[in-house]
Amino acid sequence: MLLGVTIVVLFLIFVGVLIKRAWWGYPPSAGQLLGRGESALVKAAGEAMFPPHPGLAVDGGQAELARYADTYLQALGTSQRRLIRAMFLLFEQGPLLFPARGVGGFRRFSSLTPSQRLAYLEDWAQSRMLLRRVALSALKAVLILGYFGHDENLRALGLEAWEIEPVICEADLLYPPIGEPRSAVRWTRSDLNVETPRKPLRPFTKPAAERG
Amino acid sequence: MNEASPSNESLRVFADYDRDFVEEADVVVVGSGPSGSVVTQQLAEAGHRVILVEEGPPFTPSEFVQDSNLTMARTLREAGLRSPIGTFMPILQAICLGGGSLVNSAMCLRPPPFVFDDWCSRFELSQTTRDDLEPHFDAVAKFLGIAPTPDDVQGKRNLLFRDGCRELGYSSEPCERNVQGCRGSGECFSGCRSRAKQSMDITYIPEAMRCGARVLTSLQVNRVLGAGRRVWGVEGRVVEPFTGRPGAHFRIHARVVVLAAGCMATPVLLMRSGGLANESGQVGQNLQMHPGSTVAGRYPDFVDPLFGGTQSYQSLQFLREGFKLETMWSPPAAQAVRTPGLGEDLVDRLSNFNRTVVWDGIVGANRSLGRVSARFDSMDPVIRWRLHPEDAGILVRAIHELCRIHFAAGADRVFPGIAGLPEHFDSVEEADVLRDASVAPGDLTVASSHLFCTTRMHGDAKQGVVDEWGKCYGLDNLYIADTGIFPACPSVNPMFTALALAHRQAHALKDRV
Repeated sequence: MLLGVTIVVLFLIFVGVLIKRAWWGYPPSAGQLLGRGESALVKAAGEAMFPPHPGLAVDGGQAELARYADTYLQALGTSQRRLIRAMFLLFEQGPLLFPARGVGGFRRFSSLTPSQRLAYLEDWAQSRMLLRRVALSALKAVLILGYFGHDENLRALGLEAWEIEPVICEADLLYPPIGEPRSAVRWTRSDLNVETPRKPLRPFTKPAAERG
Repeated sequence: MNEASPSNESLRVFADYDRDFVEEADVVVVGSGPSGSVVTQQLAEAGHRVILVEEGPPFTPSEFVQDSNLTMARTLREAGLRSPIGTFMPILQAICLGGGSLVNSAMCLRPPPFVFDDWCSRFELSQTTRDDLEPHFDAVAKFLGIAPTPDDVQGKRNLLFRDGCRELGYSSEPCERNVQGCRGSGECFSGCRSRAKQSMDITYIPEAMRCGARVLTSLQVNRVLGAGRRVWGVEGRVVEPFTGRPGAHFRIHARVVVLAAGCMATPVLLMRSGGLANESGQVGQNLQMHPGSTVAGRYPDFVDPLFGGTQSYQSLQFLREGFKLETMWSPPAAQAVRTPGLGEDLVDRLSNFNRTVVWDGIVGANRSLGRVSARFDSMDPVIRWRLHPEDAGILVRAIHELCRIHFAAGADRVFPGIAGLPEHFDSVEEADVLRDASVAPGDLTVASSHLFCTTRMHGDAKQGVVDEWGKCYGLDNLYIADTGIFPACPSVNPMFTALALAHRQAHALKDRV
């Protein structure tokens, strides 16, 4: 009897610890769709993947990746959104199934120490299991697109998007903005601005060897 | 070109549908990608009443966004997250007016004669040689202004490829593209804000509308209607742009139905229409692709990778050995996705991205076969495909050659992107480890947007779905016009071949409608 009670109590304690470690104590989420745990995972993974670097303007903690991930989720259809959320869940709760290396590795990803997070992600990247590598690549892809696509990082490297005045051609007089009726076509003939020839965005200099 | 000004009276968009409706036409074309657009324009020009149906919406330049995740979510099926069961890889397929032509790199290559000779001999075709198709290639090239990319918009990253090939004695050439007035923005994959790319939505489709064709967007066709040897139309639902939420029902009656929904959607549509055109059992079978992989090279100096045509230089040196090499660019963050490493290694590599150049190799993977089947609850396909070890070996060879070209062009470090091998090579000697490397298909990071053969043409009705003119065996008035009818990989970028075949089909159809 005593043994049975002890087992039940220990089991309940274990479940309590598990629940606490998995879901308890998250800060509020930064987004509309992104849950608290997802927000914490994105922020923690971003900080681990993208530490400060003198050549880049912002680091993973400053790149507002949770907001970026939230915008991305909003743009997805239901089934793709489910896939991405499953991936976030896999990484956030993964250490409770496969604990991270070192003391205190049995806790959710966002509660690991910074060095444990990086080591944990590296384990996935180097795994001989294809599925783990694929999952890591997918998480990394979403975060790189948010981090490296951050305007300030691109500007720091001279890679910011071109400032291009959209060219309006005759066909654009046919199509309304997406979701609006045909009467909402934005442009008229006076807006047509297809120059001929359009100039390249950088001046061209023929290499000396080819100038003859 | 017809001089009359196009009117959007013949266009329908999502906001126009407030109830169920029925339409009539001589021909209904399902899918507005390159093949469907050409067929629509040619038949409308011949005086037929044509309705072109497209599931996606039309885009205008102000709707092109530079963020790659958002671009993919808005313009690609399943937000660009579609992947086969077997070998994991993204399969990129467009959902928008103009189909893939809106978000591809505009490369237009005529496959060499040996490709068509192979098609003819292996698939019992008698009228599909390169000579047979030449007039159709010419007609499309003239209409779209297809021409080699000029030097002034190549940019350094494309010219480095040329220099590396020259150094090694490999052939290379500027890519021919359906582009007029390219400014070198490298934005082909996210939509050309300069409207230089002559995608179908600004060329064949408006021209078809001038000729009287009607274009109905935001309609998902769910079934081809027919019985016995004849079909009489299609039916489906209105779908909301981006969410795909279904709305009103529609039905379009027509004397001829042309399916140009693409290599994935067309077989699914046939299967969901009671197994139409499948007496041979080949519908959805024989799926082939051009899997591709990229190799990044780091150079000592700033290479201004932002500037230059998206994919403007190529080498056909190894085409007979099964692979093609080419340059490539996409928005920087998307280009950086495959950068190896994590933490400090990763950010250090990213900080060098303005002196990094990425090229890719694609493989005519004739040994890697798959199939497409229908889901019970949606029009999205279930795709099964596995990269064959021999094709993986060819891809490794392509990666090796790309490493060699990078070093010949002056790179000081090259990233081959193969799991289980070093993350980078610092010399061509180090890269030579690829000669004897044992690489499993799963060690390669691949992607593909070139898909073929799921409704293949064949001279024998027992082995193919359509004949050389795209007419379905066993049916009098159902045609297929998309890359699904290719009998095998074309070995080069497929859009031009699809356009030429569709042009030929339309000419034959003009008299049959």
